Amino acid sequence: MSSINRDLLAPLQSATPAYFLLLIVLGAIVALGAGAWYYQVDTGIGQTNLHPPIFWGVYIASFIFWVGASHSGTFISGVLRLSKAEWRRPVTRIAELMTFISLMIATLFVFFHLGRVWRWYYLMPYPNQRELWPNFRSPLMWDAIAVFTYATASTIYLYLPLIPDFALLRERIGGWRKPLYRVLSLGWTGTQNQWQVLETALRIITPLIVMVMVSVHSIVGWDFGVSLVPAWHSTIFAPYFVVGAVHSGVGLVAIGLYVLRKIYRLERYIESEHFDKIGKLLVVTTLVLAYLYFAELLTIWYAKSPDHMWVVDALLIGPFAVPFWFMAICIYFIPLATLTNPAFRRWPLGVMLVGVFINIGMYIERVLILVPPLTYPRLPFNWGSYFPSWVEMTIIVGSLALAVLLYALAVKFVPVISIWEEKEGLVHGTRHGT
Amino acid sequence: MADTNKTKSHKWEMVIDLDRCTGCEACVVACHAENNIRISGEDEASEGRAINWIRIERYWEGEYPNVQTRFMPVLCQHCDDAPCEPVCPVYASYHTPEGLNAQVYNRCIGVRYCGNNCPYTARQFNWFDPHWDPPLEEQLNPDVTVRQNGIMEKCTFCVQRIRAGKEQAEKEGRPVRDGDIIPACVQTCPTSALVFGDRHDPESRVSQLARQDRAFHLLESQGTHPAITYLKRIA
Amino acid sequence: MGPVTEHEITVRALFEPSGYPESLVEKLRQAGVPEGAMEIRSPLPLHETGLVRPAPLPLHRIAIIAGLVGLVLGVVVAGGTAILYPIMTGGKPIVAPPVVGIISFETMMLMAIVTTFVTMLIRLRSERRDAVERDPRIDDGLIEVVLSLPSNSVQLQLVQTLLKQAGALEIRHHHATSSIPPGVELDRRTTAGMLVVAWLLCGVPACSRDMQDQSSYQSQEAPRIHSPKGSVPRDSRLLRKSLTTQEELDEGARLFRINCSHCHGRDGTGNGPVVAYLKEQPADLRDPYVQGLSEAALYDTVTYGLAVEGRDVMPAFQGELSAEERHSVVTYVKSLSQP
Repeated sequence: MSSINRDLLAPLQSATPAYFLLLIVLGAIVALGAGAWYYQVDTGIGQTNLHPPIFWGVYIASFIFWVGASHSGTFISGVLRLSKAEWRRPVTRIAELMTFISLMIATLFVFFHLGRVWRWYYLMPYPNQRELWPNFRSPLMWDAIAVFTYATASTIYLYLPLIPDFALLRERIGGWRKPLYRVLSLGWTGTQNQWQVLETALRIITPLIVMVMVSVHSIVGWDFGVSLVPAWHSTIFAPYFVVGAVHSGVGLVAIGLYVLRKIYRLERYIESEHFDKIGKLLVVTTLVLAYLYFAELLTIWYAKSPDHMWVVDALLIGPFAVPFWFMAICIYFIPLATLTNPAFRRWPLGVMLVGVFINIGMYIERVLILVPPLTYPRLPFNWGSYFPSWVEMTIIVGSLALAVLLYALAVKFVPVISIWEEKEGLVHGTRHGT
Repeated sequence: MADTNKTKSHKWEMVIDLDRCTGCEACVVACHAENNIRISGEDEASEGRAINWIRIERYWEGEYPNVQTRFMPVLCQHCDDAPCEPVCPVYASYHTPEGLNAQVYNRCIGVRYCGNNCPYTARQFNWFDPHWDPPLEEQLNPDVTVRQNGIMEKCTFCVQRIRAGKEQAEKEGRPVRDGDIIPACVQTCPTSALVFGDRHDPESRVSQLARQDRAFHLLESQGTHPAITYLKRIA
Repeated sequence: MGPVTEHEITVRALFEPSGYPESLVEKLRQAGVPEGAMEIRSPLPLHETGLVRPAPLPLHRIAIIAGLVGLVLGVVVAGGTAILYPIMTGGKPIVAPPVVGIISFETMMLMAIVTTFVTMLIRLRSERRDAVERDPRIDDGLIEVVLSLPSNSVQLQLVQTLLKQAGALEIRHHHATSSIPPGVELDRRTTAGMLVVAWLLCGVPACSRDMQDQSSYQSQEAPRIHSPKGSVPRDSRLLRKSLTTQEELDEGARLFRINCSHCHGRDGTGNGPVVAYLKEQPADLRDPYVQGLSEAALYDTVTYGLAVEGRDVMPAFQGELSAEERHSVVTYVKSLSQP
């Protein structure tokens, strides 16, 4: 157990010059993004390339993408904890941190998107002198409430298994972090009472957060599904969004696992078996997603309702065909061609690269969900086209850098692998002889 | 003390006779002048951002060489079951008791869902702060809010004229008469293709015209129940 | 475990996890050590028998109750407030059942999760916090048994023997002190600091005043706006010829006394009895500027009130006086110019 302590605390105790260089580079990109946002707020939302009839663009696509990415933690960690899968142990913390950080980034995109962002608090239901009240009939209010619930719940869910680790850090790490760890560890000493309370709380919250996870992306799907826009108005959107979110989320976890394993030499903890398991999960999500996609396109194609056909034609053979087929290769063909091979699944770099393709593909997929249907409104007088402006792209790159930056800072503050759960796994292993 | 002469409720509607429309765009100009609509300029217009509360759409009838150009003024349809209204999270878009599809500018925070959900693309967004080249800023209508950067706007059926008409009627102690209230586009239409009035009054011109068998609604299958009735003779 | 008094002594024994006998706790119980005085600290949860029986905590029940409270809360927020704020939006009922369902699902989950968490926090905080620092070797895998016993008791000897028999690696005594360990003060300061930062973050939303002066929140209310700079005034609203009959003047004077004189004064010079308490001086109605205004402008001011830089300085009388009455007040105000 002391070797677990030593190995897993090492990332918190030292920092190489390369790490600081990374922080500076990321910080610079974030500053660029922040500057672009300031420019957009100062001059007007017109700095985007949005125009009627395309009122939603890459900001909303990024919002969906990041909310989807946040499903990594809840799905991997929650579902695996529920099913008591032993291999979850080194994966959960990495995934939960991703959830937490992705949700913060997703929330930022709501603010990037708002026309009058300085009035964002109009969305909050509290009695006020303006005599205004939010409209709960709007799917955007459901969204706001669901994302708030999800953010609160996933913060709690990240924090709970961290308490025993914070107690360890309180004793092993000095300096400016010590008082923070003192407060955050809540006077944890590891008594029977405390362990029992913690485990009960985790047992209660885990199934709840899985349900919240499903509801959050369903509601994001309903933002589109309940509208009148052709090719959005579809019942398949809620389950389709949930599966898509898990698809990109699991892919992201593969990337995170690989990078942390490489940098901090955690090969003893994150083994090729973990990549094998994640590869299998990705095959399942690929197949389900492809099935849902096929079901949606088939129904539209067969019914031949012109409003919807314009969109589908544009995707399959029209102006959006190149990104569409590129996306299909990234999220369907590549995972199926590679991850169905058992030998490939045990190759960490390969699984990580598939994760990268999946996430690039899923980002394009989010944009393709949004833009083509808006491009072809029912009155054909107003068809348009859209490509993001440099302000939009700078903000997107800046927020990606912010996500990486937050993650880089987080690994210096919390152990990337849950230390006590890893110890528990060790004990289980020796007890049960596996 | 107030409301001494409480009259029965109104339901404002419009009839557009496509057989009369010549596509002269006088209504577009009148609307710009009346409603302080920003001047977009060539650059913004080429980006598709020119704001028009009413626009003339063009379509063709017949096969070459017997092609005829037809015009259709499209504005906010003030739908009874407006898809843009319930999606607004802050009630900036809502339905008034008189059947107007109202937009409260200072509530709007610019989420733009309403714009997506309008099948007629009638909603326009202020991508920047408005700007008028001199001397155009001297002709702003004091009765109409100048809209700021970041909010949605659209045809109001000239709600300031509706209010003025009702106030006048109140001052004179009489109910609002048919023809008292005329939006700018209706007032300026040289061929009287546009007619505005109270649909609750069965004798009003708008009610009589809307009962004709030439009547149809735009995208009727969407179930939005527009307050604008188009008239077109089927050849 | 209760607070440590000066007459208590803390006995701490360390065990190898493999060497920890599960019968120890039972033996200690038989030796008369009360349940609350025993504590076992471990680096990971122990599920074996022969451990201290923790006090029961009905966390499941609390979570269910909190979930139900959240459900009701959601129904009240999404359904109830909609009834209080009945604004029509196209084709949807004021209280839409599916919407209430979605919102109350989220609030139910929120309440259940947060309450579980908060209950857990309270429970953790209620543990004895001034206990001696935890042995760092616990994190390397050892199990520590901590006992609080009355000092100079016979029990102490017995307990020590039992612990030795059980194979304790090390047994230490510790006289309880009542002084607060140095960390606690630091704790409080850090917590206070975090709260202050959180509070400051709440104040971040900026206060811009765009379009502030046009708060029209009732349907079809007139905008309470002053004309944009450079706009052209329009007199068209004034259709009525002003027929200044004595009767109307008297009626105007009567209404002026009731509604206006407390600010503008009986003679209209703006010296009413409440002026001393006002931030803005009411206008002198005999001032040439006021008298120079058109009747329509005065009528609008009486109707909609007056706002200066976004602050209401004169109330609207639209709801108080009918159009006729407002007119007679305007006629009276106009008549004030004749001395």
